[in-house]
Parts: sequence; C-alpha cells; structure tokens
Amino acid sequence: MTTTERRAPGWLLPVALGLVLVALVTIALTRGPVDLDPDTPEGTVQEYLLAISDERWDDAVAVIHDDWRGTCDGFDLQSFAPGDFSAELGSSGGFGGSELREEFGAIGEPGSAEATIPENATRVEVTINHQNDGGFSNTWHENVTFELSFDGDFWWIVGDPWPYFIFSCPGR
Amino acid sequence: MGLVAILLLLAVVLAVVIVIQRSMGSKEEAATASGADIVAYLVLAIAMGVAGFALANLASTAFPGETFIFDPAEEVATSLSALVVSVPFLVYFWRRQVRRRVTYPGSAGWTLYLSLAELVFLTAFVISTVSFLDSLIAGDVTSAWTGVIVFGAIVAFHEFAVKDTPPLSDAGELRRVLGSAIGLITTTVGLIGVLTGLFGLGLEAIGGDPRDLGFEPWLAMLVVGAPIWWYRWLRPWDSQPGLPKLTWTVAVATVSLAVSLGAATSIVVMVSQYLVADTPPAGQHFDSLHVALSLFLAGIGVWFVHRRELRTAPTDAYLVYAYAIAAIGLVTAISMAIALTITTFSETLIVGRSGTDVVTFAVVLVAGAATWLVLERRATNKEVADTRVSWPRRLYTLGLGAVLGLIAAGALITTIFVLLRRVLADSQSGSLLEPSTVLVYTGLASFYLLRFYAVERAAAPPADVVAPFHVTIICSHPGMIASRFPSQAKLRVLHHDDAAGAITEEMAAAIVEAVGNRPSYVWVDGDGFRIAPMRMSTNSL
Repeated sequence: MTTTERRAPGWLLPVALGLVLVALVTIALTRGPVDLDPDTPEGTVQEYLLAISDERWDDAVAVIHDDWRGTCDGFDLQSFAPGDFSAELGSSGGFGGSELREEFGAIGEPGSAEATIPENATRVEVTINHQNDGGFSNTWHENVTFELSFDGDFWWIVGDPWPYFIFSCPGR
Repeated sequence: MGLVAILLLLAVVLAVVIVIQRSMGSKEEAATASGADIVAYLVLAIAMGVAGFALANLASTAFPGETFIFDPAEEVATSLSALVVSVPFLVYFWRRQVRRRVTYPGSAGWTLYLSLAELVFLTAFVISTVSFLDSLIAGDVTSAWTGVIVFGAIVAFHEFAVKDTPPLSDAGELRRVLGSAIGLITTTVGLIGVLTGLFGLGLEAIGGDPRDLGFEPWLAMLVVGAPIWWYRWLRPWDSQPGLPKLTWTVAVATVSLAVSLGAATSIVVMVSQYLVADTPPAGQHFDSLHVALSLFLAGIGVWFVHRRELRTAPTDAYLVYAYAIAAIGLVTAISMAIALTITTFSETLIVGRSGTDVVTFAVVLVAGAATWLVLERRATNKEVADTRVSWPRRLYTLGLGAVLGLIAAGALITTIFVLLRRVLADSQSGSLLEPSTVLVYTGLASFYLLRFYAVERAAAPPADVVAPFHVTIICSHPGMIASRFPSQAKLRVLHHDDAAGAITEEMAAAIVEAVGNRPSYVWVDGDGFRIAPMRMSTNSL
C-alpha cells in the first residue's frame, strides 16, 4: 500500500460514531409515543390501545360504538387482556401511518373493491409488538385492522376489535 | 439353489470384466490425454458408488437387527443387480488406473476421484456411525453397524491407496480439506449440542425452565467427528498450503469468528435489555442464553485453530479474512444504524416504548462498528509494508463501495419520488424517514470506501507493460506461485517425485523476480531452484 496521507486521526471516526449513537439512544429511550388528535380515527385507536396498555378497561370499552359493544364491559375485555405490548401505526411491512391514510382515502372511489364502505367509515392498520424471550427475537408482531365509524362528532371503533373479546360477551 | 445363483453371478461378473478388458486393452497406452483420464476416473467413481451403496444395502438386509425390512427379497435382488453391473467396471477401471498412475503421477483425475470418494463415502460413514452410536448410547441395537463396516472399509481402502500413490496435482490436498470439512462440521454441531445440554442443565439447576436435553445424538457426533477432523486437519501436511486449504482456512476463520461474535453480541443484548428495558422475568428472558453460550464457545474454539493457520499463510489469505470480517461488521453496523434511526424518529409509535428494540439495535451497532474498525485497521496495517494495494483491499473498497452505492442510489430514487409526489399530488403522502435514512448511511459508507479506492489507485505506481510469456515449472508442489506471476504469464507445472521440490512463499517471490517476465524453465529441488531461458519462435505465443 502506497498511500500515507489518506487517514484522519484514528480516534475521530470512533468518537464521531459513539456520539451519534449516544444521541440516538438517548432520544429513542426518552421519547414516548406520539400524541394523535383524538378527533381522528387514529386518535381513537390510540386512546383505545393506551387504555388497554394502562389497564383502564372501562375507558377502552367506552370508545367502542354502542351498537357493537352491547352488554360488554371492562371486565369482559380484561379477561382477554394481552401482556406487555407496544403499538405502531401501519402494518409491519409498510412505510407507516401516512401511507395508510392515503390508502384509506382511496376507499370508496369508483372501481375500488372496497367501494361498499360508506364515507363515514374507515380502517386503521396497527402493528402490535408483543414482548417475548431475550436475544435477537425479543418481540413478535401482529398486524391488526381496526374498523371505525363516524357518528355524532366522534370516530367510534366498530366490529370486534383486537383482542377480539366482544364475541364472547354474555347475551350476544 | 442359492449357491448356484451366486456362482452364476460371479461368472457374469468375470465375463464382463474380460470383455471390457479386451475391448479397451489395445487403446489403453495410447490414451495419454488428461481428459480421457478424468472420464475414466469418473466412470470409476460411479462404479465405486453404485457398488459401495449396493453392498451396504445388501449387508443391512442380511443383518437387519431390529429394523423392519419391508421386502427382503426385493432388497437383495436390487443390490445384487447393481453389484453385477458395477463390480466389473470397478475392477477393470481400478486396475487400469493403478497402472496409469505409475506413468502419470500428476493426474488431475486421481485427485478428482479421491475428492468425490471422500465426500460420498466419508459422509456415509459418518452418518452410519453417528446413527449407530446414537442407538448404542440410547440402549438400542439396530442394523446401523453394517453401514459402519462397509463404508468404513471403503474409506480405509482409499486411505491405503492414497498412501501408495498420493495425488500430486495442484489440488492434491482437496481430499484432505473435504475430509476436514466433514469432520469439523460433525464435531462442531456435536459440540454445540453437548454444550447446549450442559448449560441447559446449569440453567435448570438455578431455576430456569426444564429442557429436553437429548445428549445422545450430539455426543455421537462429537465422538465420530473429532477423530476424523484430527486425522484430516491437525496432522502435519506434506507441503505448503495450496488454494483448497487456504480457501477453507479463510472461510472457516471468517464464519467461526462471525458466529462467535454474533453469539457474544446476543448475550450482551440479553443482559442490556434486562438492565435497561422492560423485560419478562429472568427465567423467561434468558431462556436462550445456553444456546448463545454454546455457539460462542464452539465458534471461538474453531476460530482459534484456523486463525492460527493464517499466521503462516500468504498475506493475501489473511487480508481476505480480515476484509471479509470488516465488511460483515460494516454492513451490520449500517443496518443497525438505519433501524435505530428509524425507530428513534418514527412518528408511528402510538402505545408503549420500543426499549428492547433500541437496546438491541444499539448493542449490535456497537459490536458491528467495533469489529469493522478493528479488522479494517489491522488489515490496513498489514498492508503498509507492501508496495501495492492488495486485491482483497481493492475488492473490499471497490466491491462493497459499489454495492452500498447502488443501495444509496435506490434510496435516492425513492426519496425523490416521495418528494415529487408530495409536490404534485398529496403533501401528506409517503414517508421520507426510511428512504432518507438509508440514503444517508449507505451513501456515507459508499463514499468512505470509494474515496479510499480512488486515492489508492491514483497513488499506485504505473503498471509495467508486459508481453505475454511462458513459464514451465518442474517441482513437487507449486504452492501459490501462480498468484504471484503477472496475468500475462502462461504457467505450466510439471510434477516430479522429489518431496524437497516444493515451492515456499519466499522461494515463489524469488522465482518470480528471477524470471523477470521472460519465457523460462524453472527446476525446483532440494538445492533450491534453477532457471533456464526458454527458446521459442515468436508465433508460438
């Protein structure tokens, strides 16, 4: 090798990389989830999932539309409660929430297979990350779709939402 | 009736041997081309394979032990038919090639045949023996011992044949390398299994979940593989390492270091997650610790043995290893930096924290970056004394730089596409975070590597214009001299039997310098080397 003047000081690169790493990790560990507008479909889903995560079962059930909730209450949801989880907008294979919002905008357009969904309804896709064992495969992912309906100035969750407990409620 | 049938079969075999011998005997001495020799060895290999497996099948049918044989008569008929056809070819071609090896000791066909035989029959022997020992340790006696006897005998038969007439071609060590590979893989898998079982017992003793240990197959693999690996790899080699041995050494050193570093990183990830992030209880969180420990210990042991070999190997072999590990480290670091950045700045997290993911990405990023920096600098320091940039470094800087540059170009296209779509269609559409992150990291890494390539290329002395020239080397083993001559050299190697005529690394450098890009004959023996100019007409080039 003939080049002698081709290197910056040996410590420069490791130090620069180390500083970038420390900054990224600090931001990532101190930064919480985003705050979504509660008047949007995504905001309703966040409210529902945050309530489940904080074990506020009645608050979670409260954002499910009356027509679907029926006789279900917080106790029914609690018996299906998942373990620790985190949630992200979008499917695990997608680019995130903004991609999905655009997809929802296309729903109902002429020629679309989903044209039967009314204008006051939409879907929100969410990736649920479950805790698992240690090592590299420490989480496993579940792609979940929430259906929502706009009624009385609020986006209500309809159908049997994750973790799919409504079907088992007494009287249904 | 049975005796008559066997006699009849033997008569058929004898008749076929005589017919083949008469039909080919007249042409035998005339066929001196190596191509014809290779075809003969391939026919011999097929005949040996058919005969060997037919014999093993016949033996397992005759001594089935506790194994259920569905239709013994059909098995016997199939085996005998295969033997009747293959044995005449086997006997004839074996005897023919034994005679030819005396005349043409450097036959490439003999090397090829021995390598095929090693690959097929040593593998069959290992599988049979592991199965037999596994059953024996578990207290079952099955018919697996017949395979041990038959395939063991075939392996031993070839071993004696090699001692009688060892392969002298450039790739003569290929057979030993293949045998080493079979032994090493068997030993390592067995060792990992045994260690995993032992560490699993330890975890169980301190309160971990109970595990199904199942030591028997791993112990059997360890017991069978270790002696084979010792015999094939650790015994002294007859000559300087050639291309097959160097390639295997570099590959194993690279893979074993990557595995052990990966396993060690996995352990650090587990501990860091447990300390920093929200994790399940320790018994559950460290459930895979024993596997990671086993992989680390087995990997580091294999790496130590093969890395030691690289100390005496040509510099280029070490550089291939060092730059391969550096490349693995760099690619790992880039992947983790991309994942960590996206996780940090993503606006999609709506519930919980991604603490475990962040810890994983950060620890693996540190491990990858440290590996890259250490190995790249070691390799660079090794090259400082050299007057030219080595081909492994050129491959590393140009090859990896180009690949990363292509990825960066793809990310740039995606970034521009998202930006244009935002401008022209929907200001909210698409996410810029992912493509721009990939663009930044791969682009920086590509620039870093390609800049070195450009600087080193500009600083390199101008290449000499060399006319094509012929060199004929007469030696017992050429070593890696072919890689030292410029590409214009047309090399021919003739082998002689004097074991002292092997070309060492130092001698190779001296020969190349003494030849000085002129057509030459080179004779190598115990007294060193001698060079005579080659007289040839200009149109022969």
